[in-house]
Amino acid sequence: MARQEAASGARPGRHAGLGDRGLGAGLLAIGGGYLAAAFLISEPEGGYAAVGPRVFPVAIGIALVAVALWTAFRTRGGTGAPSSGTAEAQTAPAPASDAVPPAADWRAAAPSALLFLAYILLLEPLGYLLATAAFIALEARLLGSRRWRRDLLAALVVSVSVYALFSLLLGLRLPAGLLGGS
Amino acid sequence: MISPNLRAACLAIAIAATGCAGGPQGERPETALPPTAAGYPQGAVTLIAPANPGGGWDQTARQIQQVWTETGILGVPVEVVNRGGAGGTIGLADLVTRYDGDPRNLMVFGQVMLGSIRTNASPVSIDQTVPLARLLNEYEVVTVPADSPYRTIEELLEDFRRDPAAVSWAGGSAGGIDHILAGLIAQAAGVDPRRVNYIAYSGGGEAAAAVMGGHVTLGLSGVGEWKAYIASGRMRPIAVSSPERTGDGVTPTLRESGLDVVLSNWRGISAPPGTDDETREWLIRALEGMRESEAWQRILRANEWEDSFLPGAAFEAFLQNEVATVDETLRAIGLIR
Amino acid sequence: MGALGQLGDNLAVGFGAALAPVNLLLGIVGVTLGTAVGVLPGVGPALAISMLLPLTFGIDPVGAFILFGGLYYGAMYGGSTTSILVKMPGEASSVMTALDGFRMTCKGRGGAALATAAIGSFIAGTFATLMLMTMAPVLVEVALTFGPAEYFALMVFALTALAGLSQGSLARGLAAALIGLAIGTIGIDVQTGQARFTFGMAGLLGGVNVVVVTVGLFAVGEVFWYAATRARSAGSRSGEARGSVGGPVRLTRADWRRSWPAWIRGTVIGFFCGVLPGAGATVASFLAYDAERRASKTPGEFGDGAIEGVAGPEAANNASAGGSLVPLLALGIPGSGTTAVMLAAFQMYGLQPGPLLFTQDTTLVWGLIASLYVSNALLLILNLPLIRIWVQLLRVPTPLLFAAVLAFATLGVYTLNNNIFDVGVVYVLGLLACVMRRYGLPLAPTVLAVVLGPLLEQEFRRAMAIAGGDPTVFVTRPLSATLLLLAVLAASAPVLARRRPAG
Repeated sequence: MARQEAASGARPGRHAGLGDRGLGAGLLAIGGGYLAAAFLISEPEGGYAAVGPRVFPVAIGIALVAVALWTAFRTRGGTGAPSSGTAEAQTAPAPASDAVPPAADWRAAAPSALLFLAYILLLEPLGYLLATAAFIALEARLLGSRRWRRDLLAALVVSVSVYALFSLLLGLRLPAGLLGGS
Repeated sequence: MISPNLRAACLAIAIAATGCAGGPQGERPETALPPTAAGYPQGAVTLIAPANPGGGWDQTARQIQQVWTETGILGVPVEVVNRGGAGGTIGLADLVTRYDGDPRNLMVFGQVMLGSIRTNASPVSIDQTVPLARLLNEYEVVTVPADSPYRTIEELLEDFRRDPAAVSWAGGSAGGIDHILAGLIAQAAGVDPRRVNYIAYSGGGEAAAAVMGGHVTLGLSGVGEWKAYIASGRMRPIAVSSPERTGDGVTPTLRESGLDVVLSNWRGISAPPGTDDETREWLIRALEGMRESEAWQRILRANEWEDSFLPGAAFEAFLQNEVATVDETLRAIGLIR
Repeated sequence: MGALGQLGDNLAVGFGAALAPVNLLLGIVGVTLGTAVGVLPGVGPALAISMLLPLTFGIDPVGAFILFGGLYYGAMYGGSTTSILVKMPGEASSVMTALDGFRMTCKGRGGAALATAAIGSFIAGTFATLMLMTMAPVLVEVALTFGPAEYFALMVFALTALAGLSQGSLARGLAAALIGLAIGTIGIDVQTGQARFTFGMAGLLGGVNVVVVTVGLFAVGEVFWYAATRARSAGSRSGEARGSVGGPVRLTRADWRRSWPAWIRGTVIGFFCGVLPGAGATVASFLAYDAERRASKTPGEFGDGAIEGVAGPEAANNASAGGSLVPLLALGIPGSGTTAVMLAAFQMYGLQPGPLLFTQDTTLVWGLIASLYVSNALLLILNLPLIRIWVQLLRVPTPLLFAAVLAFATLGVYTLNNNIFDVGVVYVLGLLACVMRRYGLPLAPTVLAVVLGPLLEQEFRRAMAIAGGDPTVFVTRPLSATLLLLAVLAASAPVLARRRPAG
């Protein structure tokens, strides 16, 4: 999913046409896949349950497919242009987002997303303190910060104080990793 | 009066000022068992509660922690870690794979886990662990709403035989101990267990609300867990699953009602695979010490738990037997093939 | 008269216990820790209480419960801070606060948003405690009349709040909700024990935790989205929000006038949702937001910084914490994760909540109730001055702040189950959020659907099973029928309203 996005999103020229049709196609793929998986759920034979475990998922899947088709094929009077969907897409979620979202550049986001993935994978081997301090400093840089020393200092302060609060005070077990001894 | 207050003040100040309250440290208490020749335990011992905070296993783990801490038997701090999910099989998988050969991590579990292992098709099983001891039995109670027309389980089962679908049974999640009891009762009453109209709730509290509100015909849960609801008069016990009467001494057993069913929701504790015999013996001694303490006996009484301590090899044999029984019942209910 | 005198005596005993210096200190520790825990995404009061349990072994139970009560209320309030300032709710119950709260911050009114949340929480918490104290026995009867059919009807009613969250495009709102419903079906089916949509992954058997969904879609998704768009938006985000740093903290006269009714409505909605085991704070905050939007003369302002949109939900989630203590104390039934842990704590002290507790352990029950009043006051005293400090959070440069957010999110989610798999799920959901935003799908309906979906399905199936497969059960039970009728009215109201002016 995300990979396709990365390819198409990188070309802003196609941006406008992507709105309703693209969303419809995406939802159709999700809904279709989900519906297929829903049919794999086996209903208990001779069961006591009046409504089995498959009914709800199947209903959700059908609804997803229906909404996908509705989104892809509805025609709107007035503006007529295919961009109407996109324009709406950008104002509709206004309750949840900042004014008009600028076009996304997935390639720019890739390094910081990959670093986060590396952090998740290395958290247990390296231990919380080391991994977190290194991650915050590096991620801040990838997200555009250019002040190494300040970031490193902040990263250390944050990870040490969080570790103290959770591990020592609340007694939560955080991965100790390389610093853990034993 | 002064002493607890002082401790509370110390706690508050400790939390507020230093932020260092990582548990009792420093001197080894005199009551502590001497470490094994290999030096076990070094550092804190962790009890894995394979459930979310608040559940039965979590509670048991924290009570063991409480007694071990108070009596100082281990001589090291005791921690509890919650590893909830999938009926406890996530915690089990952790013990077997992640903590293989590291007996500083122990797991509390019980009868219900045997069912989850089967219904969740868990890749790891309980015989991969090193069982230490069975600690307690909790029996099940069958209750009806306060205004129910049924006075005895015989009356209820008469209607059940006539029209199984009209009788709704509330209890914990599908395949759990409550569901198994429902299946066993049906079987004993001569009805196909698959026809039990079982209404699963995610917890005993929710099921209790359904019984007290009169939304279901009957409810099933642990005697101790539902003690307060019964005491409030909003539900009425009609049978218990113990071999002999327990608790109030008034409620008849299932056996007395002509049903050959005894079911115990036992709880026990296991060490990870690769635990050597010396360490195992040491841990069993630590559990024996806990069992003999006044604090543990008080906890058992308060929860109406039966002391069913069964250490080492005997517990292992018991487990094998239980696995077979659970398997058979789940098959009869139709939850596994 | 006699009853009133009794109440007075009990309260005197209670306040005597709650105001004892040691307990007061514990209360302060509780609200402070609770606020801190609430601010961090993922780490909730249930976990904090269970971790503190061993530390309280041996201290007076009254003191311990004063600590826990303070922690519970503190955490409910603390959740609003990150929602308002950085649009990153840590729990599902503060998702609604993020919508208008963050817009207010962008307009330089972050201080006012935090103030209305703090005062609203205080009022809600206080009134909820008052209702808990006076009406618990009656409320328990109401809660017990709710069977599966009634719960199902209530959840259907709650679903109608979705319409308000997808004003611009109903199709997109629906799609977002359906994605949430689909996520909600993942895991073991409670009724049959069948694994659904787990694809052989053990980490999915327990389902996708709502906290994981909230943190993944909002916090992690927000950072990814920022990474993808920052080159083109030239860091406008922090620029906008920075306006709040020196902005006013005090509520204006208009703010007060608009907040008052929202606080009251939120309190009532929240309290009743809290009383019903299982419904909880999230449903309460969504319903409160919807109620505000419907009551408003300028519904168009919602989503763009309407103060009622912060005041209502924030009052509601705090009131629901008070409400959930009703079934806990009066019946011994835990209605939420936090109260389940508190029930376990009661049992560890050898206490059995239920009607007998009120008569047998007067000092404890009334000490707890009195301490809830005290905690609320402490929270307000503590947090109003703290607002100025919280707002400084916006001074932190966005890259550094967001890097830290990812680290905090990881920590919070990891500690849920000590499982790195959950953090992986958060990552995937963060990517999903980016795709959803790219196509203009709102995120809040997804979170609501993840909460409502399992309730909706399980209660529907329970009701059908009890009724022997007869679907008329939903309309023949009066309370269920009423709720369904209300749902139909709520869903059709906007349509009818739109038609009228058109002729």
